[in-house]
Amino acid sequence: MIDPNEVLDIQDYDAATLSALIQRLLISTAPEHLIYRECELDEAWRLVDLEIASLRAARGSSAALAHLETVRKIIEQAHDLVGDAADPAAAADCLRELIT
Amino acid sequence: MLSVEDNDTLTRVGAGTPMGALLRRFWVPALLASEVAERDGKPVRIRLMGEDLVAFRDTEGRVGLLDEHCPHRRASLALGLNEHSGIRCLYHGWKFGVDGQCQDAPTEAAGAKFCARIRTTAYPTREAGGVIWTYMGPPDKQPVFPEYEWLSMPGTHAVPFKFQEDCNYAQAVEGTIDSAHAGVLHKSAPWDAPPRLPHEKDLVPKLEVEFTRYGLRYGAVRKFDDERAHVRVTQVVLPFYTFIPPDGGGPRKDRRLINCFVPRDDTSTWHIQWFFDDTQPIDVKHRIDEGGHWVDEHFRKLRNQSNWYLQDREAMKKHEFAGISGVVTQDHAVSETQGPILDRTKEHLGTSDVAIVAWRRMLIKAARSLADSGQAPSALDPSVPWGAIRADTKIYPSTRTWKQEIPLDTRLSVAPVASS
Repeated sequence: MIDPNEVLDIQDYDAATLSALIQRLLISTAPEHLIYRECELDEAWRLVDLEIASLRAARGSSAALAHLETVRKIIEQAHDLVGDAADPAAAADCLRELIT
Repeated sequence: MLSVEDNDTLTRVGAGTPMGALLRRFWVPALLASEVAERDGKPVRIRLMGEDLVAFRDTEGRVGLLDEHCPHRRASLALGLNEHSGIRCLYHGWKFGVDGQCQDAPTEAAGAKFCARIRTTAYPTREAGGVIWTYMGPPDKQPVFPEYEWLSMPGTHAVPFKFQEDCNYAQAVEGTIDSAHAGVLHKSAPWDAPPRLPHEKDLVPKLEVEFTRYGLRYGAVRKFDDERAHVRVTQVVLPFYTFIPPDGGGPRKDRRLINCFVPRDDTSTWHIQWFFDDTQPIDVKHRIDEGGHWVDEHFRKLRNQSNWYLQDREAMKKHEFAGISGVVTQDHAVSETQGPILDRTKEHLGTSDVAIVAWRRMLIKAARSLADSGQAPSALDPSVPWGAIRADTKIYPSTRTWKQEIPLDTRLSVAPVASS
């Protein structure tokens, strides 16, 4: 049983983590739930953003960089759908693009 | 992370901006009562939300808060003579009462008839808790005055302090609802020394927020021992107050702190603090040393960014992590060095920032709701019992929750402000 009042510990932005985020988004109804979901997405976003910065600093491959930028953009869209639009279902749809 | 648009909405406070309109719907602290203690005394210049004003206490003891500049040729009324129930401009002698009405214009041939047609901007004032408060919004929307519990305490038991903080008000507020930083920035020992205090031992408290009629409250829960938990419940009151719970021990175990961050303009803030204790007088000297309340006559810190807060590298190795004297100076140092207006598109938030995210969203939604539909936040409802809002610290059995232990007063728990 998932509790939307629990904040997920985000260690990665892999498919399993994103699936867990999607599940939580779909049962989030209260304003407090949306704050927790936004924070989880903030944490996922920062993992990707910091990885992009590291890759750039190391002059990593442009293909890898392009992939990460796509992931970051989608997470950012999901983040804003929760935070600005208060639409967790749309945010979940957005994240599904990354695991299908 | 916030978008550029959201960050602008949050941080811009001038007249005509969404946030400026929201903030102007509240009674706000303007200056210390002690700044205008004397009837017919020296006028004081004060900048609030980008507006330059002059404050003075008239012959009857009333406090006027007027546009600083004379409507005639725009000279500063702060240069003027405060006498016989009004302030007289030094340039041509035009005189205004606390209500902004022109009382005299000696260089105008039409005399009294001319005066009757002239009125300058004047904001209503009220004195409470050692502070002069004002309301800068539409006159027909003036809310009831918020009767916070400390405002009715004796002056010995509730003491205000004032500083200028050189950054936008929003990052200043956020600095006081960031529970994780306390055990780092304010660590009372060198970084490598063993932690002594609960918030130094557990740097990752579990945070939980709850929206309320007045804003929100959040609990920072830490493990106390195998059977008990420790919670600090902070109140975050619209539009820019944070009520900090007592430390939970020692000779000042019942002392509470109120932070208030009134925008001076977009890039500077009046940080007003009240310390109050209903069991004993506030030890002002102790607090000055503890907080680092060393300011000049304009409330500018003596330890500031221009002298790098007099940070002491030797002290960092031997005594305290920050090497900056005074808890408030430490807080201001990190907020001010974020830049005049924090660029929130470049930050990297995590789940420990949940209270910050909640506060931002609440304020942005309240500003947009007012701008788009004219709907004022529930915090402006006259039925809000302001005196019932209190921050708390508690140790309780781990089998229970902090909300069970410190339930929200039902009069405060309806109509969440941040609902969409």
